[in-house]
Amino acid sequence: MIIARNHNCPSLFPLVAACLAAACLLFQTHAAAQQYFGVGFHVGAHNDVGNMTSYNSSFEVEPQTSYILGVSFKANLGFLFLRTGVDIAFPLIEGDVLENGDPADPIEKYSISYTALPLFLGVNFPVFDIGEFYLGGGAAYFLATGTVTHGGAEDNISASALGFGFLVGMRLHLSAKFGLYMEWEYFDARSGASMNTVTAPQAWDNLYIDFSGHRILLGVMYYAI
Amino acid sequence: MLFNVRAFMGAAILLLFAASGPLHAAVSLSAGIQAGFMPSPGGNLHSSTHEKIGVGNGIDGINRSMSGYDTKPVDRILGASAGLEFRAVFYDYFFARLAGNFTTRARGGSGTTLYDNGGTPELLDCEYLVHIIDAPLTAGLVVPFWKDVRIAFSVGAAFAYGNYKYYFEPESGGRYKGKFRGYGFPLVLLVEGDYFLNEKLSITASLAYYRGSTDIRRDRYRTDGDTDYARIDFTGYRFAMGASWHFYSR
Repeated sequence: MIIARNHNCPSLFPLVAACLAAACLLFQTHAAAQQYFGVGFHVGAHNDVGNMTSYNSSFEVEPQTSYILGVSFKANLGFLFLRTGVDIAFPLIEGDVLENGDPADPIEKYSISYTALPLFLGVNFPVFDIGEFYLGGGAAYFLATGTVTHGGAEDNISASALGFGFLVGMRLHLSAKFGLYMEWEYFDARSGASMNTVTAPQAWDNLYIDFSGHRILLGVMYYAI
Repeated sequence: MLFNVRAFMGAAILLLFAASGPLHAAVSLSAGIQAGFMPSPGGNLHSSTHEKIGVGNGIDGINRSMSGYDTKPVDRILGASAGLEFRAVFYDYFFARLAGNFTTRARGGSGTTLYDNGGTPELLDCEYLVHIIDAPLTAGLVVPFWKDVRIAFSVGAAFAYGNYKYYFEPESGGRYKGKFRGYGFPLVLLVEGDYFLNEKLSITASLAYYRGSTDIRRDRYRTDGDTDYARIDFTGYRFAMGASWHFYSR
C-alpha cells in the first residue's frame, strides 16, 4: 500500500531541494550585501493549542493543530536584531476530548483561533555570505477567540495573555533583496480564567487558554533596506 | 553503503575544515557573563495543599474568577537569571563549558483567586516564590564560521538547587504556606553562539533546555498544621545574552 502510494505521489522534497540549491547558486554573488530591514511573509504550524492535558490530566485529547499565517519585520543593527510581526493561527484540526475522566468538568470539544504579536531581541550570527543563524528572546501578546463545547452546549470564549519565549532562526539569502527563513518559536503563555465549564455548584470561570508551545514558521523575506 | 557513509563523513570533515580555515589553537579559553530569563521556573508548582483547595494543576489551575469578586490572575513565574561561564575549545572544534547561574522571580506568581470554602466562594490571596541556583557542565562540538562567528552545540547535566515557597491567605483569615528545598541533576541541551567583536571579546547568546526535577520534598514549615509535599521542576528553556573574554589561546 505504501509502495503504491509512493509511486503515485512522488516526494516533492528532492525537487524543492534542487530548486533551492539552484536559486542559491544563481544568486549567491549578490548575497553579500548588508540587510538592515526586512519584511517577511510566512506560514507555520502550532500543535496542541490549548494544552488540554496540562489543564486537566483526566482528559485524553486529540490535540488541536493550527496553521499560522503571518508577517514579520526584522531589523538588524550590527550583531543585534529586533524581530516583530503579527501571526494569526487558525484551527486545522479542532481539539477533541476523546475520554474525559473528570465528570465535574465535562469539556467535549474546543476550537481556538488566536492572534500573536511577538517581539524578540537577539544576536545574528552570519554564516559566510550565504545566510545567518539568529537566536533571540522576547515576549508576545496573544488575543484568542473560539468555542468550547461542554455538557452538550457550545459557548464562545475570548481571552488574552502575555507570554515569554525565544526564537531560533536560519535565513538563506536567495538574492540581494530576497531570502528564505525558517524559525522555531517557543512561548510560555496562559490566560486568566475565562469561562465556566465546571458543574454546579461552582459558578466561577475556571477554564483558561494555554498558548504555550512550539511553532515552526517558514517564509520569504524581502529586504526593504 | 559503508563506502557512502565514509565518503559522507569525509566530505563533512573537509567542509568543516574548509569553513574555518587552518587550525590555529590547541586550546582556547574564555570566561563570560550572561543575563537572561527563564519562563516558568519550578514548573506548575503543584503541591498536595493545592489538591485540598480543589486545584489539580498547581499555579495554572488556581485561577478562578467570578463577577462580584475582585480577583487578579496568578501568572506563572517569569524568572530572571544571571550567571558566569567558563569555556574551553580544543582544536577549534571540541567544546566544554562550565557555568553557574542564579534565577529568581521577576514577574508573576502573585494574585487573588477564589476557592470553595464549604460551598461558598471565598477570595484567596496567593504568592509563589522560586529561586534556583544551577551549575551546568556540557561538552560538544563547535562550528566556526570564518573568524567572526562560532556556534556551539553541547549536552550534559547540571547540579540544580531550588527553593520554592508559597503563601495562600483566605479572606476569612488563616494561612496556608509551604517551603521546599532540594536539588537535582537535570539533563542539559545547549546551543550558544559567539559573535566576535575582536580577537578577545565576543557577544554571546545561548539557549538551554533543562529536563529534570528534585524528588518529592516535604514542606519545611512544620508548625502551621499543614504538611505539604511538592517537587521543584527544573525543566524548561533558558535564554541568555552576554559577553565573553577570550583570554588564552595556544
